[in-house]
Amino acid sequence: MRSIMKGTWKRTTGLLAIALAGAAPALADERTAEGAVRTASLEVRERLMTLERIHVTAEKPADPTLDVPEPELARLLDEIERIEQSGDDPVRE
Amino acid sequence: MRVAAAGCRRAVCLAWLLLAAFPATAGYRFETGVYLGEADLMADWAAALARHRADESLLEDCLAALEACPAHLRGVHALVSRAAGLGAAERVQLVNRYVNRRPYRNDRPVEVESRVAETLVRLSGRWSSLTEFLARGGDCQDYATAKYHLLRRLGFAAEDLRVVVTRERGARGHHALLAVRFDDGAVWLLDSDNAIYRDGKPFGTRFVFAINEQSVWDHEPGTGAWRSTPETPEREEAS
Repeated sequence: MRSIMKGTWKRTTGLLAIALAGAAPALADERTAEGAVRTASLEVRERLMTLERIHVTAEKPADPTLDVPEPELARLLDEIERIEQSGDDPVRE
Repeated sequence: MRVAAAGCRRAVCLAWLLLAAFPATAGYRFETGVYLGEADLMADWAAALARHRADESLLEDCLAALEACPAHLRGVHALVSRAAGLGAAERVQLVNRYVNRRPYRNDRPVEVESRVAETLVRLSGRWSSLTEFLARGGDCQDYATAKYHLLRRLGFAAEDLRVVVTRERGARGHHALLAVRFDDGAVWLLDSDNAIYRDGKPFGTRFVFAINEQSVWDHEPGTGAWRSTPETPEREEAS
């Protein structure tokens, strides 16, 4: 009787061990995936917080010798400036 | 044989040097940013966009009739009417020069309700709307933003425009440029000093993040580089 009981116990624990071994990786995967999502969203939040605090301020004054516009564009720029200052558009008249 | 080997070594060295130099000059790519979320996650930028939208009717009136323009918007009326007959590249050049004529002005600190921090945050500078910038000038981020709004007005799609925040090697602060993508895929970077980088960028510059009216993109994801960015903006004082 004792030997039969012993055999059943061994078989049960054996089967249980096999079942657990099979299930464990799946559970671990689920936890990792969940954790990864949580970590990613936290990282994005943290990153956005850092980005919105960046002080964008470098001063690079306009240099008239850089990317000099073609004469026609330069003429248009002057015309725009004249209209801006006088409030009068000669083309419209 | 020895001459051939030396020549080969020289060729390898040259190729290595070219490869090493490439990242320092490679231009901006719209495909490379990692999407972080919608633009309104950046509270101050979203507030500036909202103020710009609130000014839309004023701008419409001004574009319809020069008499309706306040003095600081007369130039926009003239620019939009003159740019109508230009090609895309000329429009971009015109806008870059027009905006860069405005005076540089340092920001004042501002407090905003941060959506991501869920608290009141003190920022060293603020984003200006187009009309605010044209009325009183601004700093580099405002130059880039003004170019963004003017080019939107001149027919460029939001998908083809981004304000790109950069950091230059040895610089004390961050800088902002406007990235413009053309129909043929070419990307230009417009700088506040009048320079236009055609499929290139200022030497030693790295892209930090980019933003437009729709989204925010990260250009330094997972590098840990952002960890060196000071938490407190006060450490990033004006240059």
